[in-house]
Amino acid sequence: MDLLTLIVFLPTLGAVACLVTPRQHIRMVALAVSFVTFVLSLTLFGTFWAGSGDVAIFGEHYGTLHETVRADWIVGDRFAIEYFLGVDGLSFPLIILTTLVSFLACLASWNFDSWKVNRGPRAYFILFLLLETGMLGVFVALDFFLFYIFWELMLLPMYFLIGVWGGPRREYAAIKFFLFTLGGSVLMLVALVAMYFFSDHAITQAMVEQGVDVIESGYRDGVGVTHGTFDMIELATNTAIQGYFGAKSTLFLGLRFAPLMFAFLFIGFAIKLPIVPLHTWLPDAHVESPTPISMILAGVLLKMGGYGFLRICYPIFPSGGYTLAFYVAMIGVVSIVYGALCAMAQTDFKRLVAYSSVSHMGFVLLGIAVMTKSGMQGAMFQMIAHGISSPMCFFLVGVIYERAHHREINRFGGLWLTMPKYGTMATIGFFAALGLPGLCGFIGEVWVLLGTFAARDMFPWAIPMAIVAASSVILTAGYILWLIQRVYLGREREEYKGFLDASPREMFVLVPLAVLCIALGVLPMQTVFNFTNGTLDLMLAQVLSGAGVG
Amino acid sequence: MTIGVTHFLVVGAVMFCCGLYTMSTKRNAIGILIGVELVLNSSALNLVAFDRYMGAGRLDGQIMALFIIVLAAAEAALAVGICINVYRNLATVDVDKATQLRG
Amino acid sequence: MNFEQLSMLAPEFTMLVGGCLALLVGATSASQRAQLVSPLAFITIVAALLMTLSLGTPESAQVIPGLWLSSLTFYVRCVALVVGAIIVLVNWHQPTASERGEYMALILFSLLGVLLTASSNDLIVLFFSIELVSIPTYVLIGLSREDSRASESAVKYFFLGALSAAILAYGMSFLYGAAGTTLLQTSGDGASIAAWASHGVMSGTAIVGLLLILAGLAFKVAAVPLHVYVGDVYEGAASPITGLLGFVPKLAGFVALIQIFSACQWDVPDAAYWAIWAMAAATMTVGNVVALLQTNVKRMLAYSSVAHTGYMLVALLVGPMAGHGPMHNGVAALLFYIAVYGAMNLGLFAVLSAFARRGKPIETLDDLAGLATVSPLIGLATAVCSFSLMGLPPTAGFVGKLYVFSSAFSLGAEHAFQKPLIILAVIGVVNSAIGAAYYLRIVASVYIRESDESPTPVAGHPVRWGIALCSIPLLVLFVWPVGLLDTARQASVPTNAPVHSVKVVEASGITSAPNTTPPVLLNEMPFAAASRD
Repeated sequence: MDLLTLIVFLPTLGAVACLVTPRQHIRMVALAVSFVTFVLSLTLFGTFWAGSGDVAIFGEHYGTLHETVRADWIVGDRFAIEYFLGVDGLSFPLIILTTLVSFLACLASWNFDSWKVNRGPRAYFILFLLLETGMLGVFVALDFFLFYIFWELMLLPMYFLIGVWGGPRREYAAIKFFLFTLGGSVLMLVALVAMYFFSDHAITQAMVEQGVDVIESGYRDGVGVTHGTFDMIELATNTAIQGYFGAKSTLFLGLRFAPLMFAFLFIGFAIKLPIVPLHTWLPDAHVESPTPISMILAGVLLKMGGYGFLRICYPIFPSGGYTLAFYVAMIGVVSIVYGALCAMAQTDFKRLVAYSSVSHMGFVLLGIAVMTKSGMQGAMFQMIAHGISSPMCFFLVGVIYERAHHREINRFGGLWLTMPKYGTMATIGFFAALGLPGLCGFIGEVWVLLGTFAARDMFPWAIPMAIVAASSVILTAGYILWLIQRVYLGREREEYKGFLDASPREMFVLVPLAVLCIALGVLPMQTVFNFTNGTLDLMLAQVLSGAGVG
Repeated sequence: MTIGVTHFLVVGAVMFCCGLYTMSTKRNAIGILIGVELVLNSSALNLVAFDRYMGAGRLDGQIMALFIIVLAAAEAALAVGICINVYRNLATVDVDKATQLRG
Repeated sequence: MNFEQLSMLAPEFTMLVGGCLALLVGATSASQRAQLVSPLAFITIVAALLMTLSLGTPESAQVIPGLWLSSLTFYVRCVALVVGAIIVLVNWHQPTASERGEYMALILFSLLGVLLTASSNDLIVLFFSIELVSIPTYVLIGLSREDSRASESAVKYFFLGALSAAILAYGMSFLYGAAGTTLLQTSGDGASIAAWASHGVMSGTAIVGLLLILAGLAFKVAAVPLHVYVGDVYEGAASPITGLLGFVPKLAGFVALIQIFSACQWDVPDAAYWAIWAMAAATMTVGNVVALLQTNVKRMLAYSSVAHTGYMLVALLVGPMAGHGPMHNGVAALLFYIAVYGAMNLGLFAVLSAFARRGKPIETLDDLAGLATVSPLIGLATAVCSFSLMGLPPTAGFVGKLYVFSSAFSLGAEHAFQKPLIILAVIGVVNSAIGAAYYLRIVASVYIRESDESPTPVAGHPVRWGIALCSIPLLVLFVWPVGLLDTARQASVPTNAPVHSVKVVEASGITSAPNTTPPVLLNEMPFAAASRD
């Protein structure tokens, strides 16, 4: 069995095992499975160890993959949906992030029995493991169809996890989450099918131009069977397809194909990211979710949107990205500022952290939109950094919620005195979210801002946007410092005196995240950039040449 | 003036429209049934006329017309059965009184 | 007709004999014998299914005067009988023992009508097959429960059904007038509608006829504007029989449409084309939007069945023009989809019929609350069926929807209707997202809501088996759709039109690579040749 298949489907096997495990051991099985998956995913490091820019690892052009698996899945005459997996610099760090956050979230679910829900742990951990399979599948699938299937698959467990084990308004939150994501994936489905038939058209046209008889050559078997492709690498690198997709004369319903498809896919992914104004599902989903699910939602699910941009939107429709760059960047900046302002206005602890996610993911969007090296690198780094700091913040909220049974920021105070270990961890986590130099949040934001300034030759609007985005850091500092002051500093309050400090289990979740926050902030090259920049730079070079500016 | 297929078709169309009109205005179930019969008979008339003027000599149309007459009889029997059932439950065959199902 | 040809109708004869036996057994007064009726009906259907399988797909389409046996017949027989067997399972304990003989016999006769629809080769046979499907359903609704609401819905269904039958007959009279014959296909040179249509001239008479036929059949498939009855009828009838109402008339209606369109060489006149286009768009949208407003689960599913008719109409409109591949051929997509729809729709109605709350049948979303805690497996089946109706992986509903919509996308730029079809597919895709909202409410009721008084299971083993047989294949068909898909594709082959009827835009960019098939090659397809030489 090949490594990626094993990594993706090991949690599914674990879910099956949970079906037959005695009730009291289920959490043990789930934890073991997610840990083994994490360890297995670490073996991928071997492939990427040598450092950035290495041709042997990243190839000379975009499209070099490792650990690939290809097999036909649904085949009707000459029509194939493939089971096609692989990793490169885009997906590699996200896979590690997913397995790590899943493992820690599983550990965070350890006290399941004290959640006061009337459903047993069996269904919870089964859905949890299926969710992990779905998330990993999204990151390793390279056939667009397979990607779409995993994308939708991860929706179902998430819906139940929020809906059944969530807070008081869980039904509303779960349905809202589901419908928003589904609305986006509907657009994705339109793009998926359209890309399939247009790629067929492109290849056929290229063959006709070369004088190949399309029927004789066996490409079409004479009964109108097409040979479009769902292969995302092929779609991005095949010159015939790229030429046809990007051509001004290629129309879909009377509109230019590339920008329209780019917009369809963009909306589909951006809902997940999320962007303003399609973010409203996020605070509801976070507030109602149980803590481990919030960790996964913030740590991994939001990254799928960003990954979708990097894997599909930009490489396949570079001209679309170039044409719509202003709007994309604008949405990014609006998300940064709006998310920060909303966060400042919240009194619910969890809602505040949720809005800070909107703000942080805005940087990802801005970095990608400007199409510069440091912009893309920064966006990727920001995704990883946020994937570490936000689960940490949500877990910190969860720890205090379990003790206090409320999340009103204004009713807290002086917690650092009561819970010194917890307070220290909280400071690291929230300062990482703030973007303090030396912690992980800083690098991503700075890289994105540098990338935005660097795009000034290409886009005249880049500098004003960079200035607005940079000044929003003040807002971020504002709401986080104010939060820390209200919750952790100040006089010790009577009602919280008896609170126990973080338990060893809780420290076990927090310490690795805190260590990573510091490591990414101090050694960005060795921890992230070396593994991602090779692929990102090649991808960007191709995008720029595809858009006709490189 | 010779009588051609068009004349039959016009009569058929008039019957069809009368049938539809009857169905949409009558409130008594038996009245509605009469409307259905009118529409069915308009098609039988059409079939016979087409058979006489345009058929290929296989009498397809006339056979179908005969079948439709049989169908009309069967439907009438069914309609009476259903109406009796309604009458038992509601003590009327006025379809406007059947208003339990709304949505 | 000789004996050998007659033996190819073995499944139909089996159903007929089984139905008559059920009537006889039911007529005996002893109630133990009445218990035999349901097994008898089930065995009849299984026997008919086995005969269908042993007859297999005919080497080439057999044309007997009045009857036409092809791979389409085979496919429709299989689907109708498999779903029919599950319908019998779901209706196992329905209604009271004294009426069960008639009840089961009527179900068998209705299914017999579907089988005959798929093998009819004559407007007369086609018309009466469809009536054979419909007339038993009018009675079944009235029989299904002792309730004034049931008889009210029977009245409504009957009068609209009778009207639609009359309109259908009226339309067929015009088609007959235009073609001069009621035969759909011939194997030789004789007169038939197919031979007449291959001349490629549609007269005004024929167009009027086709539009009226469309209107008549729109009732059977529950398409807008003739969908008005569904809410009342589905609500009034008992849940187990509603599962039949959602599938059997729909299958018969679509098969009849396919038969008539393929006889007309898919040379659908523009007026009819746009009529179907508008009908499909309106059906999807109205069905979904009205379903969204319902709180009664049965009414919700009624309007959802309207919406699904809309998706199927999209595939019908594409027809077999764009090629034979699974993502291209609208007829294959339609046949695949309707089979899947039969299972997922019936599954939900079976779930409704398997529970009661406060001694009454399940009607509203509130009645379903807490079902998953009472019966986890049936809760899971409900979720599978709902997600399948939504069109979400990992269920067959997703595969079905993918094929339906991708067939609409697949037409090449040289096809005159490319753009309208793509718009229609986009409307459909958006609609399926709207549809998700109300199916999700069902799942939310079953899993998320809590209730002081949960539903209590009332179903026996046959109903449970029925639910399992509906939901498990939905998962299997997602992972391995190829088997059913290939059968559906083969079934669509006899309906393929020769290429000349495809409307082609003159100024096409790549005329050398058309999506249309060279006529010569069509004959190489195994089942295409004999039906229309």
